[in-house]
Amino acid sequence: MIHMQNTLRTAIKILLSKSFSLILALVLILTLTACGTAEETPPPREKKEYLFATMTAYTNGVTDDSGVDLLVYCLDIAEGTWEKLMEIPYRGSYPANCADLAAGKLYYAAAAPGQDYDNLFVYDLASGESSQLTYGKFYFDDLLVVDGRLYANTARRYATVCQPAVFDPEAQDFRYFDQEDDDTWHYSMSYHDGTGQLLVLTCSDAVMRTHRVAAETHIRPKTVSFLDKDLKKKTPVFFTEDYEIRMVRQLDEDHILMTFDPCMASSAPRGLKELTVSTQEVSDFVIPGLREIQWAEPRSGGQGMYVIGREEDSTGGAQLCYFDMASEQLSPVFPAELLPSNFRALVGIVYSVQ
Amino acid sequence: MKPLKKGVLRFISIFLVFLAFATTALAAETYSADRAAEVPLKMQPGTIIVYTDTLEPLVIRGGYAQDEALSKTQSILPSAPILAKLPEDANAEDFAEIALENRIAIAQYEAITSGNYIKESPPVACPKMKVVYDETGRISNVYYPDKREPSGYSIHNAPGVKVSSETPNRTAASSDTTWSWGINFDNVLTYHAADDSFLGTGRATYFDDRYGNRDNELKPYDCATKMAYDYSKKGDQEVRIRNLSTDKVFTYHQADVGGLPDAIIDIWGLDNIHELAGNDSSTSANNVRYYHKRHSDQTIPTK
Repeated sequence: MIHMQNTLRTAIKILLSKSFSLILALVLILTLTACGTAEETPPPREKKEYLFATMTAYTNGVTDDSGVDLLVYCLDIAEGTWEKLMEIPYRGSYPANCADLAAGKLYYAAAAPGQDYDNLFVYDLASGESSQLTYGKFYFDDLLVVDGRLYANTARRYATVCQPAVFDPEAQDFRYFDQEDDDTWHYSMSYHDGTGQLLVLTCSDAVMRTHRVAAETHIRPKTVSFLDKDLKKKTPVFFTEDYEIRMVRQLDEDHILMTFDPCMASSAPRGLKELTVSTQEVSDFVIPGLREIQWAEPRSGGQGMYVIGREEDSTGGAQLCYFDMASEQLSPVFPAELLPSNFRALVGIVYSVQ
Repeated sequence: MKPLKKGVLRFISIFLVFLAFATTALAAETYSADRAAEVPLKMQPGTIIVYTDTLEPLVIRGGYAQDEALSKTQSILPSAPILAKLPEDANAEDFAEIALENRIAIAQYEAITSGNYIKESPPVACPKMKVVYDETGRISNVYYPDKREPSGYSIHNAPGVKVSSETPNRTAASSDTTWSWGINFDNVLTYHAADDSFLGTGRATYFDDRYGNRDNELKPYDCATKMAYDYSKKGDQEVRIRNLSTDKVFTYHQADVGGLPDAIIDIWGLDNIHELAGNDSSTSANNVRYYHKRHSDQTIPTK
């Protein structure tokens, strides 16, 4: 009896060890297969929200005399963490910039040494090296990265106006929305991840130079339009000459935020309006605690927005804040300890989902 | 006291004569250089001067002013600040705009009367510079050689431009800063810190370059501001210009910068200066005021 039990135990052990080996081999094969598949087609990278803040700092600490440094910071909105992406000596007209974090690149506008006009540069976030991408004479107002493509709102040499363009990395040049059009100013260009469209603000150069606009209304007639990502179809959604629109951003599919002045060269604090596209209704959008709103970047979910503005009780410069739309709470977002001691100016912000 | 030996006396005499000669020669050389670099603020109407590589002035047209006193700068202040009038149909926004403009204008006037301002040195010549005088004999503009311009000259291509004031050890201004320049120091510019804006009062001249300082084609209702103090490379920003004599207001676009040695603002195009001046014969308007918020690429002025 005892002998039989021992024989059975041995048989089960052998069987188990063989099964175990088989299972182990199967798992190994599956794992290797999975790894092989992963190398061929990586799983889609989960999109995250980022806010990029551009600042300048005095190289010598107090004045422009020794030059200016350009600093770009990135806020990982989900994590709530700030990181300095770039700090370089800067020469140029306007430091438009945007980052493609997946590609490890930061595109920016600057003037090459000895030149007095801007070109497009790319900064490698890993190595910290910059290289020049264009060799024309440009002026850049906005730069955006959407699905790995670089968009610019730019004026090339001899062009009067800025217009949307997409960068062709092979040709190292831009393809414009309308190469022949040197009359339509594009004052603002942004992208909304929820609608998958660009949003632009336009005005005719010829119209803004009429006696009526220059001497009577002092307001440029402006049109707000959607623009598809292929830069082929522009769809006007709103027009006004009742006030001077400065910047437009999509809040959601049916609502657009517009910063505005009562007229050109106005001394009044800049305000914010909300347009409902479907009804064409416009209402003032008040952010409690802010007396002037210079820049607004709503989040794609519509739960809040990042703003640059002057606070009601502050006599200092503009601050970067977050406005929570549910609680109507306004709170500063840039950590004081990250602010450079030689801080010169907060140039702008870019909200991006990538 | 022992009498000095003859040899010592002779040496001292020779040394003193040499010293006197050397001092005179040095003074003469310095004076000559200064004379060559001077740009007259007043000439006969319509005069054009072109400077050589050695800064010798060649009078291409016109001539020197007869009245030497007129070419010297002298401060002539109005008895009170000139304020913008409130239109009868002004709304609350207009009222606020004009009230602020007048507040800054009063502060500017007080800065001048109290001496709390920076007086700019008279303009100096540079090689190949061209100076054009208007129908009143005051400087209309200074032009610098510029191969990009069809005329060969532009107002912004100044060699070695230093975009700041000359005071050493400066810090960013936390309060108002005022500068003054021109034949009568009647061009006055104030950076108003609380409003983060510029307000200039004085004379408007005109220019007709083809391209602005970023190679932008210049067009009607474009203007240039003074590159030393109110400099924007970005450009295309609005500037509100008021003729204080007629109280007419125009919105221009800052699309260039220039030396502006005797002007607060430079208007592009003859038609536009005629419109601003309110007549078709003037190429300048003596009593204008401009206002704009600090452009995004402009640093806060230093003092």
